This record gives sequence, structure tokens and C-alpha cells, in this order.
Amino acid sequence: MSDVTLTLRNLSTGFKMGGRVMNVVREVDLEVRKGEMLGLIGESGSGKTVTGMSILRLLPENAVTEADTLDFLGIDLLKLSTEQFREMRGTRLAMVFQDPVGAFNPAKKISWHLKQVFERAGTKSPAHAERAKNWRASAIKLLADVGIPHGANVMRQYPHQLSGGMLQRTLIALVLVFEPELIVADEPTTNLDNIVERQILRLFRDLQKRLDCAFLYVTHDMTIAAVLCDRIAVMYAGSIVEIGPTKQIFADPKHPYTQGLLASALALDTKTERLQEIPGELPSPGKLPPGCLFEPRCKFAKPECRAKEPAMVDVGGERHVRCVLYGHG
Amino acid sequence: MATLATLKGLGRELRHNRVALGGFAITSFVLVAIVIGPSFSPYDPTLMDFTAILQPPSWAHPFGTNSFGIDVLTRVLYGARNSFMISFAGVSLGAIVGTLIGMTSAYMGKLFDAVAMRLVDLLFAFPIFVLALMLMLILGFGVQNVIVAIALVYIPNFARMARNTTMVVKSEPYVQAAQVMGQPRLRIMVREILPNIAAPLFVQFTVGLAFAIIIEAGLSFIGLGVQPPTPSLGVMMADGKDYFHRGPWVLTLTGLALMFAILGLNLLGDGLRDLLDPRLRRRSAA
Amino acid sequence: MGFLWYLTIRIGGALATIAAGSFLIFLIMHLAPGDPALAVLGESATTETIAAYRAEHGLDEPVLVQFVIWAKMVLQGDLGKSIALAGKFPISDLLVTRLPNTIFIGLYGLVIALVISLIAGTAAALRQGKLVDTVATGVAVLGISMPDFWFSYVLILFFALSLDWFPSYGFTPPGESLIGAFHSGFLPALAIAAPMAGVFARILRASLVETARREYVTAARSYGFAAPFVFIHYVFRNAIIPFVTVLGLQVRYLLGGVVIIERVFGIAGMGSLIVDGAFARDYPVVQACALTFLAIVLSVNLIVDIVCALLDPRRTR
Repeated sequence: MSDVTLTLRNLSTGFKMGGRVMNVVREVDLEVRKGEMLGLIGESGSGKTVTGMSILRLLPENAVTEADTLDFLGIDLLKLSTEQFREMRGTRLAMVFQDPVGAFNPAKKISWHLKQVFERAGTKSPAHAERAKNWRASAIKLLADVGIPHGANVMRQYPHQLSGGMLQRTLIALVLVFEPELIVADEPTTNLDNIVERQILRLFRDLQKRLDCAFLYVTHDMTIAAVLCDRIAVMYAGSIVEIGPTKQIFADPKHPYTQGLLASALALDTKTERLQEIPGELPSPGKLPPGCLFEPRCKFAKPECRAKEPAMVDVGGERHVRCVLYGHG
Repeated sequence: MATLATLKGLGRELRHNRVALGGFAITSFVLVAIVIGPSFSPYDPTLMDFTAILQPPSWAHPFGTNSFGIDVLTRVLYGARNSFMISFAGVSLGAIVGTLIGMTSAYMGKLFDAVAMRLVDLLFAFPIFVLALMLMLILGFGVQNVIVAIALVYIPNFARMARNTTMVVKSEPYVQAAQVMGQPRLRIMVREILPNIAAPLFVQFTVGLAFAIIIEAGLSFIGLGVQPPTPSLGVMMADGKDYFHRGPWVLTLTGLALMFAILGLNLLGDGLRDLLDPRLRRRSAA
Repeated sequence: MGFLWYLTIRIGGALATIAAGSFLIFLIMHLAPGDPALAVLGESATTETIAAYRAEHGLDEPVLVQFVIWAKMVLQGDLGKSIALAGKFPISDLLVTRLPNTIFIGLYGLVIALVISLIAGTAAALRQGKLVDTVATGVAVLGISMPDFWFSYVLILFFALSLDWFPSYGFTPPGESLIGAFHSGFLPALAIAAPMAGVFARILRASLVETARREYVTAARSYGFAAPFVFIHYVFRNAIIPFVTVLGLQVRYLLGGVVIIERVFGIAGMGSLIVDGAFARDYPVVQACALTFLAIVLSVNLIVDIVCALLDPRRTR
């Protein structure tokens, strides 16, 4: 299993709210392989972003993350101290954010951001030190790599002077300074308009081919997952309900929730996060239904669904589903 | 009636917010003390007792006595009652006029808005005591003028806040709907907008009341406000400063009582503000 | 929109405000009861001398004309003469001796308030919910709940009367002795600073806490930047912008405090001048002082605007 970059076993993340912990992500098992792009799909509030942030330990102080395994290329991330973990961030684990405008320091020019990252890189290795010394030239080259031909101009600007697409490219460039081994992308195109979205998606596909790195691509949009991801994990109310190769999931969705997601994707309603094809609403973390979490909204619901939460069932072909329709695991 | 619902909701949440609860408790205590306190006092706030001049605090006189032998605590209760009423009247006047200006400004827009807001800005540029002082020159010293001075200080605050919140509420669907249905402007302003901007204004009122008490005390302290022998906390402190070396307790304890009352209002305002909208904290922290 | 353009607009706005403000001041003084001619010439004046004075000073002209006459004089540096003060000093001479004292005390208090609030506000925000935070926010709310003139007597009681470290009354002008000014001005400055420090610390804390929640702070952490670096360059750097803005709004309260504190400590500044002038119904003095105060507030607001524009590129570029 040397091609696995990241392994999560039984990851749960919650937030301390007035004395008790409210779990938003529950018992998630995932692995992200080298060179692959894994799509993590779900409605807003399903816990997909929190999962990504948990991996990078970027959540606020009141967050509690627990896991049996959180392994990154043989490193037990759970055992790292805050300082050791910080050393990993940016260099080996990186994140691309949803709102490119909000991800930049509004008081500093683009060049400042690049310079800081290059300078930090410079302290890591002699090769990086060389690049850090000529950080301006390196930055311009890097910007060109992510599709910004006039990098020198862009660097002179403040974040608010640039378009969302330009900022997202720049943000990706910042992440690429170190060539990290795992990139978590949290809905990186949601805030962009359609044409720019397509350009950025193309950039991600290029990157995936060019870099030898693992991607965890968080999105609510099935169509994006379809064009971008090798495998898809569908998340519902903090749990993974189905996981498998993209082609097979699209050809034959097993979980009723996945079926609903696909139906709404086919309705071409790509920008809204609400799912007309599935009645009802996502349960809030404080009021989870007994048994299967999707049961209240499921058209195949049976009395046994309410008894206990179904386990993941291996349905063959690297596919797993959490639904009693496919056995009890 | 949305206001009532909001206030009721606030009341319910109040119990879970320790700051607001503390402020509410102190404010209630102060209000009860100044309303019924004086009738429990064995002393008369105006009766001079030359056998008990400038006595330091004791069991008989917890706050001591002043240069006329009058029990300071009794006078503080009477004085605080006046200070409270003056401040309340002043802030109320400022709130009513300011809100009216702000709402009209936001609603009429264009020239009215531009002119009104420039005037408000102008008022905002005067140091508060300078404003009050010039007012005193026209109207003379005394209670009514302190009220007007306080109102003048608060008109800009309320006008700006009412304008900003009205701007937000104005674009809400239900207000737009009322407009489309051809309801008269005044009716929309009173029925639809006012209830929805009342909550932040209420918070501003609480905090404003706290600072208004300080303004009243300050004006009366330098002799521009309430005139003796009418007791007010400022007047009493001004009196106490004259024999501060011999009887420091008159000024210090009166001020301490004043601080306690203001603390209650400030805590209440803080708590309410947190309950209403954490984002509000920065905008109106002044 | 360039920075210079922004600057031009702001300065223009300030000048317009001061023009409107000076008219307002003039109007208020005009409405004030009493005949200025009578006030200047005294009770012994005859009808003829009064009429002559009124004609000479344009007092029979419409308000607007009178205002223009006054404004012209002010622009030439002539603020008129005091009515009440013996010797009928030119007011501009009075201001020259008084203004530096007020500015000194005001700045002194401002610096003390800034130092206290920067330390307390930052500490509270960094240790949110911990003991430091509770103590700092508690003391801050006490600070904003007390009248500064009362606090000055508490200070006098401890540091002047009991400990005798500082004088309880009187002020050495900075022109005479700078050390003396710092020493004798300490208690008044501290008294003005205390409530301000409370206000500032609360604003800074709130601003820091809010900024720390922004996505760019998370992004900075995701690049692996060290916590102190993120705090200084991302959190503090951006939180300081609303802090400075609100700070500017506080000048009018600050100057309000100065007016009373000057009287408590017997400082010969603008505050005591305007109050004395008001009691003596010395209208030209009050008028000139009010105008000066207005100019101070507007200048500070202008400075604050410029500082904000320099700190926040979004405002001008």
C-alpha cells in the first residue's frame, strides 16, 4: 500500500458548545492515493469542509478531532506537536480555499504573499534557498505555470484589485511553491463565475497530470466531480455514505442519496446547493435521527433503517455503500 | 409588534448571558434604590445638621456627611434620581429626533439625505462639552438645557445608526412588497421598518444612558448644568471638591455610586449587544 | 482613485465642514442674549457710543454679512478681543499660550491610553476566555463607567495627597520645562486616559477577535507561517484599521474630558478658557475657542483618515 498518501480511520470532529462536543464529522474512513484526485461530495453543512480542515488542523480552538489513524506517508499526524505540524503545513500538506478574495491578506500586495512563502521555503533546503534568493523571478515563473503570463504586473497589485479567477490562480501558485504531497481543495471554484470556473478546473486537471501529488477535492457539485475526480466519496450529515470510482458511481449510483445527488446534477442546477430532487433537509448535528441518517428523506426507507445506523458494505469493484439495501456488511 | 417579540426573545436569552444578567441586576437594584430608597432613609436630603458636619463614613452615615451635616447617602439617592431622569429625558429626546432624522434620511434619500447627514457629521465634529457650553450661553444654565445638550450629543449617534439599519431593512422583501402594494410611506416606516431597527437602537439607548449620566455629572460639576441646591450627582461632587482635603469621602463615594450605576448600564448594553449581533460590537463600540 | 485624489477630497471636506461649523458657531453666538456693544462698552455707555460701536463693527448688518466680516478677520488671524478679561487681550494671544497646554495634555493622555489599550486589548484577545481576558475586559468596563473628573480626584487623593509624588494642582507649561510638564501633567493625562483606554482596549479586542476568524488567517496558517508571524502580519495588521477609525471618533469625547480636567487641575488651557469665557459671557472668547476645538477635531479626523488610507489599500486604490 505504498501508493497511499493519506489514510483516515474513524475520524470524528466536533465543536465544543457549552460544555459538550457536537460532532460534525463522524467516523470517517478515507484514503487518498498518490496521483489521484478524490472528490468529497456533499451538501453544505454535510461536514466535508470540516473533514478537510481537520486533516490540516486548521479548525478553531474549540474543535476536537479524534481518529484511530491519521497517517500521511507513514507519518502519524496525530502524534505531531503543534510546531511539528506547522512545519508540515504548506510544505507537504496544503490547502486551496473556497473564497480566493478572502484568502489573501487585504493589506498586502500579491508580491508580499509570494515573498513570504518563498522566504519560508528558503529556510528548508539549499535548492529552495536558491529560489528564495531570486524569489521574484521564481514567483513570476510559478505564476506563469498556473496561467498568469504577466506575473510581474499581478505582483504589484493588492488582492482587491484582482479578479477572483486571478486570485485563485495566485493562491494555487502559493500552494505550489513547495510542491506538497497532498492538496486539499475546498470548493475552489464555487465563488467564481462559469467561464473562470472552467479555466480553474482545467488548471486543476493540468496540475494533477503534472504533479505527483494527491488531491482531496471538496465540492457540492457532482458535475465537477465527474470531470475532475478519479474517485468520489459522498458525505451525508458527517458520514461517508458511498465511495467508489467516479465512472462506476455515475453509471450506477447505489445509495439513494447519491442517486438523488446525480438526479439534481442532471437537472443542471449546478450553482445552488439545495437539492430539489431530495425532499426534506439535512439533519443538524445536534438532532441526528436514529439509525440511518438519510432515512427521513429516503424514498426506500424501511422500518429496519431506523433500528441502527447501517455499516459500510463492500459491493465489489472498490465500491462501498452504507445502506441496508445492499446487505448488512 | 415585532418589537415586542424581539424584546421578549431578548428577555429569554438574557438569562443565559452572564454579562447582561449582571448588568440587569445592577441596573434594577439602582433603579429600585433611587425610586424607593429615599423614603427608607432616616435623614432629610436638605435638612442641615451643624452638629454632624463632615463626618467620615460610619454605620449611622455609610457615606459620611457633607459640609452642612447632610447625610451623603441620602443625597446620593435623591441626586441619582435627578441625574437618571435628566439623562433619560436627554437620551430619549436624542433618540427620537435622531431616529426620525436617520429613518427619513434613509427613506427619502437624495438631497434630504445628503443635507441631513452633513449636518449630523457637523454636529459630530464638536467636542461634546463645547456643544453643551454654547447651548448654555443661549438657553442659560439649568436642567432643561442639560437635557437638550445630552440630546444634541446623541442625535448624531441615533441618526447614523437609524439610517444605516433602515438602509438594510429597506431592501428586505417584505418592505419592498409593502411599497409595491402602495402603502403610504409613513405607515411603512412605522409598521414595517421601525420594529425591525428597534433592537440595535435599544442597545444604543442603554449605553447612551450610561454616558449621558457622565455628561450630566460633568456639566453640573463645572457649574454649567444642574444648579444647586437641586441635588444631582454632578452638583454634589462639585460641592465635595470644595472641601476635598477635609472630607474626601463626599466626592469619592458619590462618584463611586455613580460609577456603579453606569457600570450596570454598560454591562446591560454589552450583554444585549452580544445577544443581538456580534458583528454590531465593532461598529457602535463608541 | 489615487491617494492624492483621496487626500484632496478629504481636505476639501474638512474645509467645508469647518466653514459650515464656524457659521453654526457664529449663529449660536448671535442668538445668545445680550448686546455685544453693551458688553464691550460697559454699563456706562451712552446711546451714541453704542450706536457708533455698532456701526463700526457692522452689528446692524444682516447676520450673513456679519459672519463674512468675522470670517475675514479670522482668516487674517484676528480672532477679536476678549470682553471680560482685564486688558482686553487679543484672543489670538490667549490661544497661543493656552493651545499648547491643551494639546500637550491631550496627546499625553492619548499616548497613555494607547499604550494601556494596546497591551490590554492584545493580551485579552490572545487569551480569549482566560483569566487575563476576564480581568482586562472587566477593568476596561470599569474604566468606561467612571467619569474622568472623578477619577482625577481619586488620583489626587492617592498620588498627590497621600504619596506626594505629583502636584495636586497647577501645571508647568511644556514651553517652560518639558520635564516639569511631564511631571505635573501626569495625573491629568492619566485621568483622561483611563476611560479612553477602556474604550480603546474593548474595540481593539473585539477587532482582533473578529479578524482572527477571517479566512485569510486560516490561509496564512495553511502556508505553515509561525503563529507570531500570522498574528502580527495578518491579525493585528488588519485589526488595527477599524481600531484607528474608532479612535478618531473618540476625539470629541477626549476633548470633552480635557475641558473638565483642566479645571480640576488648574491647567491654563483651552478648556478652562472656554469655561471661564462662558461664565463671564465673554462671547468672542467662547466663539474663538469653539472654532479652535472644531479645528482640532477636524484635523485629528483628517489625520485618522490619512492613517487609515495608508493602512488600508482598499480605501484609495
